[in-house]
Amino acid sequence: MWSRLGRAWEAVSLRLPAAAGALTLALALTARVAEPGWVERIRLSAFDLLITLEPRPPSPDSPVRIVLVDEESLSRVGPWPWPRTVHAALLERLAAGGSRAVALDFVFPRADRSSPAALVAALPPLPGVRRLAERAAALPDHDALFARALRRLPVALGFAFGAGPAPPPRKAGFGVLGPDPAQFLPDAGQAVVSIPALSVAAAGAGAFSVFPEPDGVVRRIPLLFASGSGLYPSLVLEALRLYFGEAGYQVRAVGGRSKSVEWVRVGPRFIPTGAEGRAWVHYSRAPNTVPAWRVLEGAAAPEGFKDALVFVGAAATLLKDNVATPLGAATPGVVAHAELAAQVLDGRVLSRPDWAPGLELLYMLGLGAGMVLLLPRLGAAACAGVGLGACVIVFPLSWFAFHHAGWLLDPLTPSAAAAAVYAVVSAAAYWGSEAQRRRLEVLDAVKDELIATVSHDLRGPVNAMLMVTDAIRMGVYGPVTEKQVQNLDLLQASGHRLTHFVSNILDAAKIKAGRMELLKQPLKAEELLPSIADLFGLSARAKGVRLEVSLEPGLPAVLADREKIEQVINNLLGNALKFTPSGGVVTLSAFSDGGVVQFAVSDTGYGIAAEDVPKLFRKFAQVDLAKQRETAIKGTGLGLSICKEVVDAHGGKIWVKSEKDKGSSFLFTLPVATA
Amino acid sequence: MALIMIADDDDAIVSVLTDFLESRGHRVVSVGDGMAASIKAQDWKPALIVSDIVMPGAYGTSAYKSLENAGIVPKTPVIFITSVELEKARKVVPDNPRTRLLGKPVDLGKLDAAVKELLA
Repeated sequence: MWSRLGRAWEAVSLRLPAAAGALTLALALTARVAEPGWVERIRLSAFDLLITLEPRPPSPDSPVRIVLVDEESLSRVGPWPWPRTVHAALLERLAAGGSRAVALDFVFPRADRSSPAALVAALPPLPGVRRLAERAAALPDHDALFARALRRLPVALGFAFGAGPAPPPRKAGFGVLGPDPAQFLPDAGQAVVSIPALSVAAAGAGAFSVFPEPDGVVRRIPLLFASGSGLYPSLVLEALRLYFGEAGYQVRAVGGRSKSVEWVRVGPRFIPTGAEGRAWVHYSRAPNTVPAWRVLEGAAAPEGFKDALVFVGAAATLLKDNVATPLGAATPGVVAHAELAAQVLDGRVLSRPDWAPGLELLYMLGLGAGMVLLLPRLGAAACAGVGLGACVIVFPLSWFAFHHAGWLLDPLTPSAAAAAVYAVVSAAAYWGSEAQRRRLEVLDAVKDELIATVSHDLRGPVNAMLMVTDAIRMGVYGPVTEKQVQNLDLLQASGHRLTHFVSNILDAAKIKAGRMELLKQPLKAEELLPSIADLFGLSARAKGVRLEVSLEPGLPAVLADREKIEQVINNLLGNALKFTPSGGVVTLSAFSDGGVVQFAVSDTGYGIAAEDVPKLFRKFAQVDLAKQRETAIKGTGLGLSICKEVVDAHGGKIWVKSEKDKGSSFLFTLPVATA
Repeated sequence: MALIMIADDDDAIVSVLTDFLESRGHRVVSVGDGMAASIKAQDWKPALIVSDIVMPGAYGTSAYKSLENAGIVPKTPVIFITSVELEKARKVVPDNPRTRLLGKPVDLGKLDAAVKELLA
């Protein structure tokens, strides 16, 4: 029952690392497919890394300009909201500069309260107010002035999805290829829109709503929105349309299993989008911005706006339109829009290819499965090398794809999954081997006990037989013939041989149980080593290994049990020959070192990995099984532990110096015999 | 001749020792464990005890101690016989002139000599 359980346990502990690794890999694949927030964050941080490593390079030829209402503009021009006349003046300046199109990242949901008529209406009914009202009514309305400016050049006016009435009337049509994309987009709902006088005057209307990722970073900007059953363009898209002087867009959507928007075409540009109609923003370090006050005061060179696509938006912290980007914590929202427009106009838009998730999953599966399969065969260090090698190839590859094609590929999640598999398999293997080692240690103790008992019980009957034989021989049971005496002698000799044999087994068991008695006597290395070398000469020659003896002349004698020390050297020499390939050299040497004589068995064999050295002298700790299996070498895992016990019992020290694939030296010391 | 008590849990050993000692003219009684040895020795008052060391119940050496308390030994000489290594057994066997230690298998010639010497 127990032995069957033990075997079952052994089978489980052998397969445990692979099973745990496979389970981890399966979990990782599931997590990658289901992609909960924290897994998505790993993937997104890989993209952030790419964008941080290589932000969009400055393009001096880009027609995109950004006019920012910053803190200084507020202090110079006046507090927010500015009268619409200021907005009108700004537009007049841009029109005078020759701007091709303007995108206003603002919404004007109420009439301007600073219009003369509105100001007078707010006055109490005092004498003279009526005349004032009559004169004010004759003055132009601020919104009317702004509307007039809006008609001076193509302007896309912003609106925001959220609470409010329905989205404003569309200014452009959508030509749809494939199924209706609106059904694949989340319903953006109602919108906050500008007053009709302004929306009618503007050539375009685009939504400036952005949806940050769960970590608050704006990486993608929607190009399309769906509200009810209608499609609405974003401010970026509308600005680009006006820039190209187009009347509409083309949208390509695919149904079936992918159910996604593939691209949006505006003018000559195709913009690849993700499933939900969003495009990735490739941010630059220094976007081309001008403070609004400089434009208003004519400080900015008007020719700077020649043929430009100008984005106007808020940058002042008070106006609360700053967003987090992969490059920095606070970037004006209008900059994000303008960056995307600049990318489209440069013809270099970031995209996440449809096949990217599949490729990443495949890579994750390959590397993870590689870890599960290779770890038990190659060992931890080699497998870490394989993993690092894969990273060394894949990380630059994904950067290359980003650099040359603008593809966003994620090498991080698969690598993290492979690292998790590596850690789990290693931990399970270590745990399994420790459990097995402890089990073998218990078995060893049981075996020692068993050998001691069995040999005692074996000797009992043999002793009785020998004594009975002796009694017969001595004539206790009557006279015996010459022939009978001869055979009784034979019986006794055999009996004694059997007892001696059992005694030897008992001795071996006692060595292993650490209950050893030593018969110490002065012993000279020059007598000991050559005779042992002779003993191993034949097998060394058969293996093609040179066996050398090196003795310091005039070595003092050591105090040791000859038989036990011979056993130690035999063991070390046997190991050295076992682990040294043909053509190698094994050296047996002795030299004096203060009050001790140091013995060394050195080889030019496979060596031992540094992490395995501390395990060497423990019972059953076998080292680098892969190498042993490969070269068909099997050990019991007991030899070195016996050596250590023998040397320890002599008051000596045993240790090893080794380098993987270079060879090993096993050294031990014995105290010098005092005369 | 003398009354000798043998204490050993191995029947074959008891049998052969009994035969041998009787052939030398002694009367022999025997017990199979240490506990019986310490009790019966007080009843039978043998002239000599031949005792195994490792026995069930109580070791021969433990039996010796209780007999020492009862004043039986070392007046009564004891020959310990054992299959334990002699160097080791020597550490537990009382060291006095009326005690002997023989290894198993017992050399009957040596046993004969020891019996003669201790009964002299």
